[in-house]
Amino acid sequence: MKFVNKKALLYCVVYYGIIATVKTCYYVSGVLRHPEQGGIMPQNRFWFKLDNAGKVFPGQNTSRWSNIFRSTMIMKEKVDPTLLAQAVEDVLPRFPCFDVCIKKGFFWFYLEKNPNAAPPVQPDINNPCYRVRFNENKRFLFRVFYRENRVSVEFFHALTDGYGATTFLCTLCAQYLRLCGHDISVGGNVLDITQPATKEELSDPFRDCEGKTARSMRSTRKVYHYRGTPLPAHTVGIITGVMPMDVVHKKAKEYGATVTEFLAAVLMWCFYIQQNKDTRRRDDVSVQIPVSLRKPFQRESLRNFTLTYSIRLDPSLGDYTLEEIIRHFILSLRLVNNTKNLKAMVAANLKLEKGLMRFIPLAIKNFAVGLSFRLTGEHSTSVLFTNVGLIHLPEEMYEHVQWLNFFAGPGKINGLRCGCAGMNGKLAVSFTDICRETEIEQRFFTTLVKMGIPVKIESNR
Amino acid sequence: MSYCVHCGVELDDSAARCVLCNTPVCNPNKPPQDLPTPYSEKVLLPPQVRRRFTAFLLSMILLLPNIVCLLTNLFLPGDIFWAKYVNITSLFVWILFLFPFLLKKIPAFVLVLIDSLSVLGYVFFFYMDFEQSGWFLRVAVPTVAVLALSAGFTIEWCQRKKPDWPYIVFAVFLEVSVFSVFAGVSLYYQLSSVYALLIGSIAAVSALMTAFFFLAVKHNRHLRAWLSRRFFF
Repeated sequence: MKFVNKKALLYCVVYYGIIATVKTCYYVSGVLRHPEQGGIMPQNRFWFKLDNAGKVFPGQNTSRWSNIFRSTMIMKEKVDPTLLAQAVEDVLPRFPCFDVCIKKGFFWFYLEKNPNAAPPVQPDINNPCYRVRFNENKRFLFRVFYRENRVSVEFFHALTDGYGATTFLCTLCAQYLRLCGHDISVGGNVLDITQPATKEELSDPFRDCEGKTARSMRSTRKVYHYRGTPLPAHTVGIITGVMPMDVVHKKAKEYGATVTEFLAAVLMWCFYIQQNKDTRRRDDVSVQIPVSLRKPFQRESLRNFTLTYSIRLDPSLGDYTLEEIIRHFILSLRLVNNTKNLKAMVAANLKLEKGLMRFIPLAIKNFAVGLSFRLTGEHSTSVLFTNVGLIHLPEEMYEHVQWLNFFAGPGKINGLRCGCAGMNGKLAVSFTDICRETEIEQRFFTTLVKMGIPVKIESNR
Repeated sequence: MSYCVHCGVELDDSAARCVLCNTPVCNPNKPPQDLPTPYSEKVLLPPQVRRRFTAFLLSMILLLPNIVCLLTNLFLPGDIFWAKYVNITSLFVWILFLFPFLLKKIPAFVLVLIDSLSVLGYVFFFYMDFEQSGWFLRVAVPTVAVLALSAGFTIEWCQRKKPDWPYIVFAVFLEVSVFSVFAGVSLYYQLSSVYALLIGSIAAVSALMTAFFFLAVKHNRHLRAWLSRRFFF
């Protein structure tokens, strides 16, 4: 103790003591006050911890790349931006977990209630999924766009996943239609904005679903990555194919597959053919499938609650036909997709934020996570295929909307990603790509057309 | 509605060509209309970095440690005046990396001239300070002059002809090859060492081989496409 300056130590203790006391008094006074007098309601907590899945993304956000995704509702009438801005203000209090801005702590990023009223409603742009800066867009982590008869929302992945974004979009469009004078009830993906958010919607559900054994499903085998001539920086090519849901469903049933399995298998086949064309190497082709945990664990969280499976095909074993790949995909996915595996994966992910990791400064954590993300994340997959599933709306809303489009922004290593959503009898499959070539997209949609599925294409290219 | 005759997909009413295969839309029953496209034409790009302001800021940051070193050396004098090495190195770095950004528009050959003179000045400073066996005039001046001339010639040629990227890479490696030969020969005469000549020759041959590889890339369409895809140019 003789090397310690006792006076300096005393000053430090007093300084931190005063700060801790002032902060505690400030917080307690807010909680004890009535909400109408400016107090903090229990569901409008002053700050949120990022959920387990969302912890990775803020540290990896750069000036050129953000993990972001877009959901677009195609309506039947032209959108009025004034009413849409009003609808955003009306809807936002129902989603306190989106009414936040991101802050940097010493050990972790965290979400704090945004002091601004609502994000601006902007005219649409040609390059969706444009990178996020935390100090732009009134510090909100989601953006709202409009164009002709389209309403789009873009979410930073740290905030929520596809389900949360789509639920927000449906509730927003329902409120917009109400402001237009239509009578729209609640149900399906449209939430009741007169009710406060439930505790379950705001909670981080990963902690309740942790298994006893932690096991990661990642593989370190080399996989094929599609490469092409890059588009200019900050631009992205979107190609969307809209097809009748019943025809796709019927075709998938012929192969004994679900719609997700069928489309993801066709995508795997496209990559398998592309590798044969591009190179003589026979690396694995791997399709990453995000799986929502809401159904298996009976949760209704609006925050991130997905895990991903990587389904692999080993072309070094021989040549494959499309039918063989579909069969391989179905069996592989069904073999791994069960609650026990999911619990083990949740436990493996939670393990990374426990123990000593909690006390490592954020900058070092970001570096380590970035390294791991580069070596094992996107490196271990060829393409991401994400399906938000069938979106349900109140019956009277269907006559005002056409279909829903969902896609994820391009990856850091894999420039091509595929998103899918079904609504109102239509299924929209969208490709996001940072390459000029459209070979994969062409092969994918042409294969579906050859199978007898009519496809309508639209694009920003 | 229009369909692509090649892919078989239905196209958007506003589409002038198929986005999948680039086949133009030719629908005699439907006159062209100015229909709204699904996406806006406006591309959102990040704001440009204010280069002059950033260069000025970095210059000020660079100035601070220099002043501190100078004052420290003045008020706490030692055996040698060491602050001059810090100051001259900072000045050299500033001329090479920050000074060009402070000017609005400057011709490339003027920049090459300024950089060459600053390199010569920096070398001359150490030459005067340590050893004066005549190597400055015999080796340093001709080597820097040859490098400056070849760089100036390449830049001028690139600006006039505006060649493709493989041709630019070819020219740069050719320049490196010529410079390696010259540096090897001049060092051989100064030091009388065969090793200098050998190292210069190895560097020249390697650069020459790389240059001819890129010349082949320029003329072979398939090789160029393969490189572009493989290395994501």
